[in-house]
Amino acid sequence: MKTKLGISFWLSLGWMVLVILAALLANVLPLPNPNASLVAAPNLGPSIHHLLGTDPNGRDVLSRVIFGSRVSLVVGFGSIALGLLLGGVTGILAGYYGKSVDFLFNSLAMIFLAYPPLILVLALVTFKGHSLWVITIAIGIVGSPLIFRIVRSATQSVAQREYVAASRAIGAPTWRVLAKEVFPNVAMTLVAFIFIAVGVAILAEAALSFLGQSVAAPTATWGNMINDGTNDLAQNPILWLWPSLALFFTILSINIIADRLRVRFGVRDSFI
Amino acid sequence: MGCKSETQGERLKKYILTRLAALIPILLIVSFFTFLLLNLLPGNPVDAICNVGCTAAGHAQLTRELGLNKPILTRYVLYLKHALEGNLGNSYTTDQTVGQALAQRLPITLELMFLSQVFALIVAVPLAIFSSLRPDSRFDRLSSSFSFGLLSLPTFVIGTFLVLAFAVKIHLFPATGYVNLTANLGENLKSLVLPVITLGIGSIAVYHRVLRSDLIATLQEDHITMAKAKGLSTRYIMLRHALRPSTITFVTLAALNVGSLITGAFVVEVIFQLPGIGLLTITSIEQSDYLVVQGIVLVTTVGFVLINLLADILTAVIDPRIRRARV
Repeated sequence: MKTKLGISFWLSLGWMVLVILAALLANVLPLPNPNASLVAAPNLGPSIHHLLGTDPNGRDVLSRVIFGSRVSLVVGFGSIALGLLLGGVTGILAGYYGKSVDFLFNSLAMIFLAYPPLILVLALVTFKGHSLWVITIAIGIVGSPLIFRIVRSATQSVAQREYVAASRAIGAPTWRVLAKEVFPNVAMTLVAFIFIAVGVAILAEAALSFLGQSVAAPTATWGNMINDGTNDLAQNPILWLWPSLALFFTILSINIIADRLRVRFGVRDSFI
Repeated sequence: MGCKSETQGERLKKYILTRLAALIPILLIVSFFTFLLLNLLPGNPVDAICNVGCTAAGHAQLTRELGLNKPILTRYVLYLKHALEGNLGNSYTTDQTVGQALAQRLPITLELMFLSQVFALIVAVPLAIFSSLRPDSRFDRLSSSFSFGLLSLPTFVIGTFLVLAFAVKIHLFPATGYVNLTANLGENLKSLVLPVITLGIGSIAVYHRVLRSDLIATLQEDHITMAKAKGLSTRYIMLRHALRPSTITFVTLAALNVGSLITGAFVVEVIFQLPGIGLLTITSIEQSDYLVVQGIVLVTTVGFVLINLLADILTAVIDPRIRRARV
């Protein structure tokens, strides 16, 4: 019997669709330029013209929250896509072939895993620059050994199943065994994990932004908006509130989606 | 019996020695990798140090001083040799050596991390016990949802919220600043209350979720039923029989958690302006203090590797099955 996904799942999915649509359509939506100063008086409260008000530079907060989501989404999905490419392919190869292939990739993964994640990202970003691509690639590289370990162990258990042996026995070439038998089964256990990983990547970018080490100002990111908001926490806490809420609901939605999918696919709760 | 325990002791010794021996190549590779990473990337440290006003001669002299004209392998061996002697180079922006800067900042970060884990345990363990006694009860559902929500709250949102609530609105705790442990213990703890809570909250969620499911599984095992049948009290069963196997889970979990704890500590130090390793890293990056960054990366990574090793050894000491399986 399949477990129901539940109302929380659909609400979360709805929020994510909304965020992604807003990010995609940001240029088409009737929003002022997110980086243009003094589109209205500074520190305005919410009004019909500026739904979330304006910041101390007179910039439209709603526009900045929506444009800021682009950074989060690009880094979140982009870095995990890169991580899947690096970690996923090597993980399947290492898990399937074992022996020296496994030893080579596993040793490489262990070297990366020896670093505290933030330290490695900071080191990469410090010496490679603060562009969106560097940050996406840095987080992707740091995430790939974790993805490698998970794909590898999933592949190891799938590779021992009868249907893989059967496929090999009827003379299927290795690429077909991997593509038709191994990959679909590994992918199923991965779905929930990928969502969690995207959430972690978005949080990582936001933390970097908050530390002033992500995409350079004046580009809006949720992290740097939260940081800006803390400067004026006593007088105008609402500036801090909007990006915080956007970030919180996005991460919560991703975690709920991942959790429901995990229950649905019957994957054990082996990661946090 | 005596003979058996002796072989077990020997096994444990062998396991620890094997792991310690493996440590040397790991540390060598990791330190070399760090060195490569920071040296081969574009963005010459000389350019970073001498900004715009540098003459060609000054540039060349600085390159020589830093030894950057030598081949990479020679530089690495020299760096490693100096590092082993405790010399990680000098900071370009302060008079301190990198070693002095680390010695001054590291205890603050460690105190913050340690206290946050104590706080997290004090909250998470009772929560997990009460949750697991009646799974799916109202209390369990509420605390589980709460933990789930906490997992989605970034450290810097929690931290800034606490500043708003307890430092800006009601002046209960200082928003920023740090009082040294040796100067005044009471003030030291007071200056750490908000940072410790901020850093600990994330761990509460992690520990609560995992300990809860661990305890629920343990409570269904035969030896618990047996203990209940003997008429032992719930409290006794919980403390003596159920929590004990979970210590293995906890040690593994705590070690896994160190990575995100370091990230959290960096953010917390920036929010509360605590002069620990995190704040040092960020200011060094901003001032392009290249050798300090390199030293921090090296020291934190070695520390991280050692903590993971320690956790593995501890787990092996607690659970004999592991050392048998791996040796």
